[in-house]
Amino acid sequence: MLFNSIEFLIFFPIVVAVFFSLPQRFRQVFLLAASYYFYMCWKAEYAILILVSTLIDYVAALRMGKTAEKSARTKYLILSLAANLGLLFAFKYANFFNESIRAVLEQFNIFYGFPGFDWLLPVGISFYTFQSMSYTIDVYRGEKEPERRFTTFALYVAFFPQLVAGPIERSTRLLPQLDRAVRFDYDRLISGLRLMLWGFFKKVVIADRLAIYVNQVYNSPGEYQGLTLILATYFFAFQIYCDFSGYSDIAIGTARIMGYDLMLNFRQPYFSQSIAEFWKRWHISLSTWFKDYLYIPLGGNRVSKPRWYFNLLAVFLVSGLWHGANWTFVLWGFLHGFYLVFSIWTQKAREALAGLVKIDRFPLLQRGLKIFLTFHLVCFSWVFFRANSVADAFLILGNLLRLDFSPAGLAAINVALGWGELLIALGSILLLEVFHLLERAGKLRTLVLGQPRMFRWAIYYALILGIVFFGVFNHTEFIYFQF
Amino acid sequence: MIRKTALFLAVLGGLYFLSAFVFSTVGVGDQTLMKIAARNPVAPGGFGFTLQRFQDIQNYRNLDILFLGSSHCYRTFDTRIYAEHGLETFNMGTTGQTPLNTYYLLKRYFAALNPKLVVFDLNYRVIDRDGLECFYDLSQNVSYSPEMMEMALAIGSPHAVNLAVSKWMLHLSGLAPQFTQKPDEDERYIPGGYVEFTRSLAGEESGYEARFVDQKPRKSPARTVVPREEQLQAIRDVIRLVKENNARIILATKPEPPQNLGAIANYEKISRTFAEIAREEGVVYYDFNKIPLPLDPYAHFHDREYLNPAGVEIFNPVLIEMLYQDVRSGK
Repeated sequence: MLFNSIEFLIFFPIVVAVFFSLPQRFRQVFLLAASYYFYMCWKAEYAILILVSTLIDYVAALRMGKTAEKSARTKYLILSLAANLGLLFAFKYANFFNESIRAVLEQFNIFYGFPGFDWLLPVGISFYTFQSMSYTIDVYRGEKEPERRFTTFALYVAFFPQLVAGPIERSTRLLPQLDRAVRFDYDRLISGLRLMLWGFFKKVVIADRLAIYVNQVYNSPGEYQGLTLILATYFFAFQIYCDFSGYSDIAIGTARIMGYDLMLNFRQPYFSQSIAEFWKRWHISLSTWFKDYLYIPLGGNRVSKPRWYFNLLAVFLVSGLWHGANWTFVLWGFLHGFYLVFSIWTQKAREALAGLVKIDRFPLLQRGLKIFLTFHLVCFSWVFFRANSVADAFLILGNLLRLDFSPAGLAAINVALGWGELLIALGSILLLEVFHLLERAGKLRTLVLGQPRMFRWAIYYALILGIVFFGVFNHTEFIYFQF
Repeated sequence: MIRKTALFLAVLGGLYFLSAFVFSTVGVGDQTLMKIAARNPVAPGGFGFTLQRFQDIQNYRNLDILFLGSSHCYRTFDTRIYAEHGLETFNMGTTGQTPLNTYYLLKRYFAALNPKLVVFDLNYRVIDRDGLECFYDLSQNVSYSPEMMEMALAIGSPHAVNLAVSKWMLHLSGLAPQFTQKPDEDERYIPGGYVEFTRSLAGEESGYEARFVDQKPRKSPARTVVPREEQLQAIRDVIRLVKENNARIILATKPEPPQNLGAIANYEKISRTFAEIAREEGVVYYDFNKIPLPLDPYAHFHDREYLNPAGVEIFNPVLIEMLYQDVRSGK
């Protein structure tokens, strides 16, 4: 079931109403059933995978909790990791590796006939397996007691607001909340609805409109050049942000209404002044997952410099692969790893240069330049993320600077959207950034929430009517569902 | 809390209707804000002669035959040929018309047209669509009626509902703009709803030869059509509506060049689905791609899909003869 569907708009109020009308002891079971129903609306049989992952991790953690012996605990941890990564490999990566091996062997005229699997990628598999694995790792490390109640743990894995596209929650945060009694709270309802509304606006009005332009250009990259490719890449940067942060807002909002707090996933990432900062603001639940469960176990930055660089590159290569079984994602991950390594390597030189040109005397300009540069480095990497193949990505990069500012060249940027819709797209991006600036300045609360009811309602009406009239409704899935 | 929610929703409702009205009046020429927001690409009085067809429809009553379907319908069933046989007919085909659209159009116009027989052209191309394309056309070119709102709700797209509401608001206010049919260089409207190709693509580099005669293999692989349940149900609803009004209906699929059917991976299955519906509803179904016809793919087709005027002149008399045979045999 998609958040941006009529089915969800019917499903969610019913779930909330039933949830709060039930006695406390039945709520967890009900929420679990609702979560499985939510998932099974997409493909019922794939719910078995969630159940398998849940059962294995539940048992493995309980067994770990019963012994203090490290080797036995390690054995159960390996069982959990093997099961989750095995599922992930079989359903997401098997064909990718198979095809890659075939391509390499073909270079040496070696026939490789191992057949691929004709399986549909289970929606959200990367999210729930990572969330489930983080629990067994926490139990293994002794940071979390094993959860005794199966329904609580099953709900932790399958909790519908964040099941298919995160935020990837931690057992130490979400499990205690699920065990706690919740009461209906009017303020939480309003605050959750507000967040959902903003999420829907970002998804339906901004992301889905930009997607029309981006898909047209990126699906036929050879037909476009210069300004059109640049605009499509900028649009993709905002499309993916609005798509994914919109999903996260709806997820956090729905959970909030039911009394649960999910972690923040985005904090205006395009205002980052460096790539390192970008990763503290973009898909926070995933980047902190990789930090806690991969980067730090590899030694983090408390190692020699070459090893540190290796750790960074390794984490970002895995992060790229996490996003998709395609070399484009691997290259995207590598680029971000490279950006970080390069920025550490050149830090002193850059500081010296800044001192030399005295830009540090103009902090606002310096900050603006840093944001500008970081945003463009991120956009450059998005080309690999969005392109359908590595060849397409290089084709796009090759044609990116073929600029044509003649009237005909400028007219050619109008692809797939009419001028009217193009204006709506640009206007909605502007609105988004104004909202972000107010949020950054801490003025949003005073400007909106501190005002009389009629003023607040006017803003809600504008957003709702904006969605109803200016939304694009063709049931497009969220980009991050595919991961 | 309930009072506050009710007040919020009531104001929201009012603002929605007000916005629908304002958005449909603000704009440049026929490019209203509503049209842009709803992503409606159809110009009033543009492609497909829908505007002229639904102005013309006022002149028709008590028909012998009413033709329904998509652009394949209005480019195939030439009302002049039926007139030569003494039959009063009207072609109510419109661009991208799916069975869902057909049902609501028929609901609106059946009583006025009062046909003895309905020929419902079923085309595999529209059976997997939601009906929005046709609705875009109708919302620009047909006056408002409650059936238009019902159609929008049945399509289920907020774009369609917004357009229907704005149409309703304009209708209520008496401010509905008047448009005139724009001419088309390649086609002309024939009174009664048929649209005739006036320009042949033969001899054009980008036209007939390139697209069909030289039989270049299609770039894309054959498409598998997955019919929507609601469209199949709408075919049944159309049949029942006609029967309830004591008229007869036949289902038909008009002929196409055999080479073109290869573009559909499951044509046979689709055809069987149509035949099954006809059998269950007790009506006749003719798939003219399975009935031998004296049609030459090169001489009698305009392009990969449509008959040309020569083809139309061959096909319609065959259909007329079959209809008479049906009457004689009491089908």
